Amino acid sequence: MKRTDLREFCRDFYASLRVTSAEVPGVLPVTVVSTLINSAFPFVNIILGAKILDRLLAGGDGVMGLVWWMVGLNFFLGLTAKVLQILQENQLYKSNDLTEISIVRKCLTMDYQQLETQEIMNKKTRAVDGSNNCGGDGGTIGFLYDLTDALGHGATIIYALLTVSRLFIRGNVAMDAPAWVQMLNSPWAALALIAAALGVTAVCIPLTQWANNADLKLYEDGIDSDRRFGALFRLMDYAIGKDMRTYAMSSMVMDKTMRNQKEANARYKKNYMHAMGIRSLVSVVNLATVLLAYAFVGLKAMAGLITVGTVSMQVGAITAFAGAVSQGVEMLGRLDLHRRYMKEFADFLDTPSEKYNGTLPVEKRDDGDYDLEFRDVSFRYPNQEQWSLRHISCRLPKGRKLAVVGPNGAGKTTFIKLLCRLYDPTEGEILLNGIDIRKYDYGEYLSLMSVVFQDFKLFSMKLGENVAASVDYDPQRVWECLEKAGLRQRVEGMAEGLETGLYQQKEDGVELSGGEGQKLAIARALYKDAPIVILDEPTAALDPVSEYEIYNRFGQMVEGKTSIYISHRMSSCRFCDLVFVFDGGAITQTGTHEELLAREEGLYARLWQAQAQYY
Amino acid sequence: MKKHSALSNELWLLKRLIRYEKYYPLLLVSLIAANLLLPLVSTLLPAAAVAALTKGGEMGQYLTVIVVGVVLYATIIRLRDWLENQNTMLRRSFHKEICVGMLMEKALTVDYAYLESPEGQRELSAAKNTVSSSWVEDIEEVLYNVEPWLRNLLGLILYGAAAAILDWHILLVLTGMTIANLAVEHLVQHYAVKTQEERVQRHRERGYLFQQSDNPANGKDIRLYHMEKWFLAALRGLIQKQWDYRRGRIQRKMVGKLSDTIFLALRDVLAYSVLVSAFLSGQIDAAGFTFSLGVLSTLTAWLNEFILTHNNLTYYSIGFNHFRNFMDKNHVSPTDGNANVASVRRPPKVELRDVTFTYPGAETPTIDHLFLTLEPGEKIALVGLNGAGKTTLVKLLNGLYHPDSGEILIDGVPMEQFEQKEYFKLIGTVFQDVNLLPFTIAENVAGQEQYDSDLVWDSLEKAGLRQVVEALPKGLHTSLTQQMEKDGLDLSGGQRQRLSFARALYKNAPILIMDEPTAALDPLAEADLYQKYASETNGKTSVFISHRLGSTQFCDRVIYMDKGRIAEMGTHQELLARGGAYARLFEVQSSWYIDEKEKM
Repeated sequence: MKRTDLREFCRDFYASLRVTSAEVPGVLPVTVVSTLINSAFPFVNIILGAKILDRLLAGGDGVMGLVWWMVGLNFFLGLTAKVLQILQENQLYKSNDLTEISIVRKCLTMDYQQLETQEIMNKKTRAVDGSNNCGGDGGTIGFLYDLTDALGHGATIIYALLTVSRLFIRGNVAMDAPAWVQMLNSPWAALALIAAALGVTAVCIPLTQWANNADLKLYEDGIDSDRRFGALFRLMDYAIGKDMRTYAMSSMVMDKTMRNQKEANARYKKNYMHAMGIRSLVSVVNLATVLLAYAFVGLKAMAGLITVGTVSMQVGAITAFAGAVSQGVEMLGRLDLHRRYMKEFADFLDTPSEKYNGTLPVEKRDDGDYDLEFRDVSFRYPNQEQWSLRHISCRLPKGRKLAVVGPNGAGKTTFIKLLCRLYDPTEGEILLNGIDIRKYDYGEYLSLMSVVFQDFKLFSMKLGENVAASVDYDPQRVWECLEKAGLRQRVEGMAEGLETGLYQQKEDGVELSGGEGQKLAIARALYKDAPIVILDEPTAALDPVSEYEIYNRFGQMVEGKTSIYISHRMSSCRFCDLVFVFDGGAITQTGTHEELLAREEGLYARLWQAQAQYY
Repeated sequence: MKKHSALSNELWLLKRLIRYEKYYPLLLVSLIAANLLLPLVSTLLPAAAVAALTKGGEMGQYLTVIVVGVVLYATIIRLRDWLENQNTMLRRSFHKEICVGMLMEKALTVDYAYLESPEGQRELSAAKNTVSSSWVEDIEEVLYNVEPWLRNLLGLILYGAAAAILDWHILLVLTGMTIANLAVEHLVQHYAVKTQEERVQRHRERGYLFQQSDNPANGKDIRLYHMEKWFLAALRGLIQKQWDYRRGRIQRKMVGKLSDTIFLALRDVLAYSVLVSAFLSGQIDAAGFTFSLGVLSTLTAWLNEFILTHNNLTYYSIGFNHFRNFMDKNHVSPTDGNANVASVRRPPKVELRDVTFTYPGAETPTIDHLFLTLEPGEKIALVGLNGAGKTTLVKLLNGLYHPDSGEILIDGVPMEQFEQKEYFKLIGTVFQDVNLLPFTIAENVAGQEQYDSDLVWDSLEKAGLRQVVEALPKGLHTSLTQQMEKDGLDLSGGQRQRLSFARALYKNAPILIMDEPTAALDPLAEADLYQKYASETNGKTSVFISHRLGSTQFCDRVIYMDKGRIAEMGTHQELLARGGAYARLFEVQSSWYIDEKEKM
């Protein structure tokens, strides 16, 4: 590792630790203690087993005393280790769960624009998928398991060295002993053995790194095919099942899936066999250390320098040492891999908001006196060259009803997105009571808006919660809003009323039709009771009667509020006080319905005629 | 849910695995043999070393023993690793190809009414869990346990016999240990099994929240309605329940660990006493002592492993039942005859005779004794309030649902007499909810990988999309969405609706159904589509559903539906003249336009 790499490693490693231990502070101490005890465990048998064998060979005096010691230590350490292990496992899972909460929280609160930024979301995907795919149990768990292992190997190396240190002590050797005996007795010989063991490990290090890289490739080669598989797998969804059957598309889907899977499997297998082949080779190369240890210690015993019992002890210790070193190296590699993924987590969670977030509180007014104005606003979506809105200057009619119409793609919905600060204007500014909306506290600013988007979303949770957008709701108010949106009767017919779960995530979940969903979204907007109400195509899925009801109730729903009504149904302009006609990203006409209709060559008149001709 | 025994489930899978790879049994046997030999060699090696040393052997002899031992060990390791990796890969490709393939094939072709029902949804979702990679109780895990189970059972028998020869008392301790272990494991397992269904449900709900949170499509509503608190509270609630479960599990596990440690201590005391006295009385030598100790401690490992894998076997098998049951579902569509589609007249006559349909679990029928005849080549406008049964009627006509009673006849041939796949050939439907595949534009239009480009262009032209597609660098080969290809394209709502219209045009089926095809279109595009529709439906029997009643005027006949029946029927003019429900509905919508007209 180069020096900068090392510094980077330490920094990211620290960041990873911070992520994992932030919410479960106990996890690290428990991990360390549990690891120390766990690694000590085998040495009880290694050391006391040897002493027992020696005592036996020496006639067996007091051997049972040693046995009791061994059993007692094993019992005590074993029990502690196991209990700590369970506790550790529990904390690991807790920490993992809490990381999940942090990720979800981040996703829910980050800038809307960032949700659509591939590189930011990729960080999250890589962190989640990456740790799933490189052998761990998932994000933080994989990292902590590897960390535990690495610590364990470190502890084993220390215990082993302590045990092996006895080999450095000179035995009593007669002056006339053969030269090889003299040589074996020298501390240098023991040192040479350790050096040889480390030499074997040194051979293994590049091999291990090779295998680690192969592992990484294994994962990275699979990203694309995994993503494709995810998309193909989703095609089992029932909504698309209608089309699948009607247009006989299932064989195409199956062909594509099978091709994707066969190809991905073949590639995966090739990479996997390669990576695992190297790992297998490493474990075999490591056996050279065992052989060396047996040879050295055995010969020492043969020369009478150590007892026979010590042979198994020392071989055990040296083998443990070599194993720990090589696995430790491997673990460091894996830890490095996990560290990289965890860094993506940390980076993701630390992604700063790009939005300017002001601090001004929004004045609470009962009279709904909120004056909104666009001043020469232009906007284009990130990474797009084309302007979606160009030089928009307008003032929303305070406390009045505004209709917005225009062809598909004219910029109507973008206009709303800017108003809600889901995006900020590329040029120009939007003012609330004369102050740039960026200067207000974002959360407070949003609380001014009740919006029903064209692609509104409801969630597979309780119906009442969906209306209130919260776990706690006021049932009476929810019922009132459902009533106003024209959905009360339908909900009353449901067995569990407001407690009814929506859609398929819940058992006995209720499916809503497009029109019912639209009404529920309207009820949600009413429940929020904000001073500015925006409805984007709220009646697209409604029948004429429901549409008529919404039209008629609209005035009552938004009484005293500033409201915007976007629709392709030109009839909606009739009950609005003012109409904006959007075309090609600009407001090309403004006026009342009557005024605009009078301009016969205008876009508005053409749009109107296109629909009115049938009536 | 039908619960099969673990054995039955393993056999079910093994049968298919062997069909996929006939050498699997050979692989399995070799792997077990290697895994049995490995601990034997590692126990023999130190014993042989001690023997060579204590018997005052020569240096050469000692070195030979250890070199042979280590080389043998290394060889077996290499072999074992290779076999193990092959086995892992075989399981993996069996899972990812065969099992995934089986499931998808089934889900894509099973009777639609079942798939769409809450029951079908639940069962499919549970079956999907067993093959999705993020789920731990997947098929690979079910299969994984076969080898260790057999290996540990054999190891247990072999090493148990060896231990019994040494001293039968030790077997007593081991039996006690087994019983205690089994009892405790049973306790833990029972708890896991008892709570499995609710845990699966929680897992699903957590996955749902996780997925919803970063879906950009939800982002606007989540921010505007400050939903983060709602989501997080729901997630915390689910996680808290999971923690409660884990606490219960830990308590039970602790008991297991305690009993385990006690028995291990007993085993050690007994083993050492027996072996020490055997050694001191000269029955065994130092090498024998080392070897026997090795055997006894390995035996415990066999035992524990066996209990663990045996439990896993039963545990994973429970989750696997979801997969197996879904595969065993026998929802054959009632449409399964051998009438010839080719002999159907173009355009055909379509007749519904006394058709009734009730959704599973619903109390009142959605389609109630409905009679309707579509004359060959007739254009029908189907109108009615939300919930009148229009979309259900479409699904019935489409062959996706089947009447509970009554008949649907195509040219006098009952629908049931066609094979379902054949029947679908008769119908082209533009559904209300537009669903496109994440494949290329051409594949979406043609519904298959081989297509006639001219015809695709022609269909796009007629649907008003040609210009848009021509402007794309990859033209027809542009993928939709970035799910499959990174340079994929997102179409707007209106464009998607047009593309699904192009798909119906390409299919050119004799019966065309359009369910609300203009909801996302602006007025000019809407008027344009009406024109296109009027010219493209010549020579087809067609049904057009819309809430925009202007659309009824280019249809031959208007059907007004109410509560699953046909309430009114006739031409637009006739129905207006009659002054019934349709006329009132038209009045409601046209009122916004009419008085303007009068003014003009």
